[in-house]
Amino acid sequence: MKGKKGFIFTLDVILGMIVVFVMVTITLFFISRGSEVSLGEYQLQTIGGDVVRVMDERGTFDSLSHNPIQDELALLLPANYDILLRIQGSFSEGNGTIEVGNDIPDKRFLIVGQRAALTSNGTYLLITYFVWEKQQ
Amino acid sequence: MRGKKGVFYTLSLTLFSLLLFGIAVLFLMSSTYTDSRLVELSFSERIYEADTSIGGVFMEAFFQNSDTEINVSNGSVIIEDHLQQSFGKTDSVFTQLQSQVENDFPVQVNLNQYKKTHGLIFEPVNISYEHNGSSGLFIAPNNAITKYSVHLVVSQNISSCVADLVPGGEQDFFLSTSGSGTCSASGNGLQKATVTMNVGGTPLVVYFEEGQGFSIAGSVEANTTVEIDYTGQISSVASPVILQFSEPSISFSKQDDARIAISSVT
Repeated sequence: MKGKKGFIFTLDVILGMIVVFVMVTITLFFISRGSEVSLGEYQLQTIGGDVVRVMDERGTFDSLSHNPIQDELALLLPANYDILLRIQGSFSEGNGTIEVGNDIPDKRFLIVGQRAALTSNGTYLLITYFVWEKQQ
Repeated sequence: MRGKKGVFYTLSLTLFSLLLFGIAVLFLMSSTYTDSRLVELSFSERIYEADTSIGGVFMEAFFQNSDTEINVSNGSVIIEDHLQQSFGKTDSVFTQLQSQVENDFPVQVNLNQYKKTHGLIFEPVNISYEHNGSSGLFIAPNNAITKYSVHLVVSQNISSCVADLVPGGEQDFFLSTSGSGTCSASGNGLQKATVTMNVGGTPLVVYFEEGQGFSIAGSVEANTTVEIDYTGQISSVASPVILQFSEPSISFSKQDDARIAISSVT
């Protein structure tokens, strides 16, 4: 009788542990899924928008040439972020498309945003920015 | 007793499991909620970027292509203008920009009101400055305005000048001219002021009345400087170019004027 009781008790504990383990696994799964979009990722978008806005207000895009834009970008962009600017419009440089910044990395989360701008001589620009976090 | 202990253990484990499961569900619900809020925030950020940049593009185009210049300081805005101004070039540039931004962004641009008035709105005090065709200016009545100070530079001779100033109000008025002949009028605390001039044989009327606004009317070639003293703060200037953003999938709709921060134009 005592052996049977011990067996049932052990079985009960094992079943209980299995239930707890399953529940813990489900909990961890739900928690790990967490928020798929983080505030950090939203931050990427505001950084990209802010950088392009400041460059626009400073008239950086008026030159429509690669180097001045690259220099300004290096000054404004926070150290742990990378960016690619694609500037499109009706201008001769690069057949109307200038790309400034780093190449887009593979398999990295990045944010894409767009702003319109007008140069001092009235050229309309569509500026697309891709922002991602630098790999530490 | 041992049987009771077993039941107690099993019950405790079950309750513990249910508690964990409850926490997991709460986490999931919270993260789903956070996700949707962040997606909305991200979307609104995109619309904000598009709205502010498109507004800036139209306002910069306006100041690049028109004869209107503004200078805003604390408590005063000066608008330099030209009475016989043609807005043909500005309208053409705006129509081209309308097509470009509608092609690049999820926005509909309405230029109807802009083409009627070619106006400027100083915000947030909402001082509205409009062109009446090519023969006049109009400033809508606004309680924030404390003084109109107008200077006209005319190229033709001023042959007559009649001023009718009605006291009993709260706004101050000052008018001066330069060029051929002179005409001036001024008064503090006026209810109404009418100054009628004859410039090269053409009548030119400068008029203001509390509750009716301020106007300059006449087909006369003249440069105008209108200084408006106001109470409050002006942080941006807008044009009645209506930008309509909509995203039916999330029932999102936003309508706005094209505007630019004062710091970007003065």
